[in-house]
Amino acid sequence: MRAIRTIRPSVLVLASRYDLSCDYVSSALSNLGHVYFRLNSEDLALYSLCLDPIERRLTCYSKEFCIEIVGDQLSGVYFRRGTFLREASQVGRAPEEQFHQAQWAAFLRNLMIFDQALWVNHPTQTYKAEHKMIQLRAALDQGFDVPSTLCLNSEELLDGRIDGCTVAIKGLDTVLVRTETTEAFGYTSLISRDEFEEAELKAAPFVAQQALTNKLDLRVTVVEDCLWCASVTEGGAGIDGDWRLRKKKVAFKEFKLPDSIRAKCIELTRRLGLSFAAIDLVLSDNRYFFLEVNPTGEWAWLQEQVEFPIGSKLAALLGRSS
Amino acid sequence: MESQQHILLAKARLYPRKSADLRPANCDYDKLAGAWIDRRTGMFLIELEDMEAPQTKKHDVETGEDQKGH
Repeated sequence: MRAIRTIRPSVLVLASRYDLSCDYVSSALSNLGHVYFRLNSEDLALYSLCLDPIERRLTCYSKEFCIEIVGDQLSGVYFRRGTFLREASQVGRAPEEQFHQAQWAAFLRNLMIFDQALWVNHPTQTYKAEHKMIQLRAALDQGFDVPSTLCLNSEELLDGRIDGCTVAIKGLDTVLVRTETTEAFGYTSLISRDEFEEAELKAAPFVAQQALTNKLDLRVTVVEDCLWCASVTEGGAGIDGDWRLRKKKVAFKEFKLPDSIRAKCIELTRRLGLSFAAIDLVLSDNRYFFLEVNPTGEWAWLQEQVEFPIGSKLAALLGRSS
Repeated sequence: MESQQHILLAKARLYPRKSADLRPANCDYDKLAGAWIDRRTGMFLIELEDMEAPQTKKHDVETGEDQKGH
């Protein structure tokens, strides 16, 4: 058998080939001189893999190289995979494909045996922090202003509990429904009280939230004790409703947060057990409201458009003890 | 009688499913570099000044982060 090159990485990146945020991290890891390996979901079956929980070792063979990941030599794991396997993703997929996906997802979760490494973020913390009601409660405990919020399936229960003639509604989980040919995605919608009376609500819970007006959307990215904040505007002004609906027209610009709000963002990230967080804030009526936190949030567009050095900071964090 | 859609589904944006090739043009994925490499220059795609954003970049600010669980 031909001798092949063996590589023992100190940083493991668990991602998809098409997740370009990870290209920034790979580039920064390379520039910093760290030995790393990116294991993509599309590539799993291309390798011969063996996970040994006793030795705490993952071996990954290809024709050209052998990757040997050893628990006590691994400094960091950048985990960009999901913690849920949502049913919507199974539409139109062959039974074999569904089976393969479920088993490989479990394989990736079992890599949590590498518990001496820093996970950004750890799947157990990501799992918990993805829940909107838990996020809001944690933000409130951290001292943030939060909009009045309820999770319910009845309009009658809203009465007197959320102010305003319109209410913002959104899914408790991602609203993404696929058929063979179409995809439906739910953004935050502003609904009048009259519209509620006509609507079907009982079949599923939804999040109803005080609609914040004259607002400025802020996207905060936290990497441990570093923080970057960008405002989202159109024509220099804030945007009513969900800015993602106007994403081709919006501008992102660095925004200076007050020190007290910066500290709350960093502490909230820590409170949720995360090292990385993408936090959505809104500035309305001179108050900073917390809306959501996403433990696997996107940031590549901020690196490109506002030149926030997020990839470099993540790489430095992942390779810190190597 | 057809039942009424839940308000979240009724308000959702419907669009055709894209089956486009997600591979960036003129690039190869390098397993050891852990990144897409430009064929002309040998550089990381994301380091090119004239990088052509592939389709996933659009999803980056739209549904991308919501699909991490898939």
